[in-house]
Amino acid sequence: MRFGPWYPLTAAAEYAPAGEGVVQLRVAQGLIDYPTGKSAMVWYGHTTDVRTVALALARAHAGKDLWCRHLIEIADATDLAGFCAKLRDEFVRRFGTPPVFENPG
Amino acid sequence: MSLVEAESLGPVEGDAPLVTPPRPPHRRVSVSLLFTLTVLTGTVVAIYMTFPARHNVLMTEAIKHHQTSEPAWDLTSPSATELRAWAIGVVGKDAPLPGPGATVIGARRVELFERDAAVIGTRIGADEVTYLVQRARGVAPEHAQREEGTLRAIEWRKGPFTCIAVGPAASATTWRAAFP
Repeated sequence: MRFGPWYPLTAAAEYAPAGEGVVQLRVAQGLIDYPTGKSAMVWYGHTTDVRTVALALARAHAGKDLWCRHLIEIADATDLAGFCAKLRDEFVRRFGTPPVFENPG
Repeated sequence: MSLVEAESLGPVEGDAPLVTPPRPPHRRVSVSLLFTLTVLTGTVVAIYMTFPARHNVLMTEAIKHHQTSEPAWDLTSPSATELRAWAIGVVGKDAPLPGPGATVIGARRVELFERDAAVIGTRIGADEVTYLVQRARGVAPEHAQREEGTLRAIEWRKGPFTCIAVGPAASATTWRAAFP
């Protein structure tokens, strides 16, 4: 199991698969300041339908230069929600706060 | 034979000039005041006739969405993180979203007053409640509400956002508590 290549979020209709998965979003250029570091990542999400979520986020964030990628080669028994939670927790540990698209404040 | 015929229509040199009495000062003031009030009233009436009250239109839109039998959601049953990521794109950071007491059925982006608004369908207990949030522009009322049949629409301000929830009037107190 690994993340596939990055693609523009605007191209989600072409690349994002239907079905459960884990999605990662980043800004295309530059880094975002987080309390304990800088990162291009803005969101990690476990979703029941990668395609629907990617398309909805593409429409919602129209005009922003965002890239997207999703997990590929997923083994059947993988706990995707747990995997996503671990990714997010690791992010919080390294950068001191959740990714900016998850942060209400 | 007259040699001064050309001057017969105008003042004749040597005549006393015609001096009209000045208008009384209070009359000048009252005419000026009347003119100013007329212009001001006309401007205000024209603005009200040209631009409908924003909160009325938002409420009407929210009620219309609530009454749609099968709304086309951009996101169906999104998780809290999905909804937050989506809402940041639609209405911006810090947008007040339904609290944990509300189950989100779906979310949809709409355009009102040439800016995006988020329409979020929720279930709170046995009630279906439609929530609309948009970044406020200009002066919006702090609180307003409208009854339409068995429905009640409640509008309130939360920071820079205008929020509207529409649901059954009978249980409005209960479902209103599920929103920030």
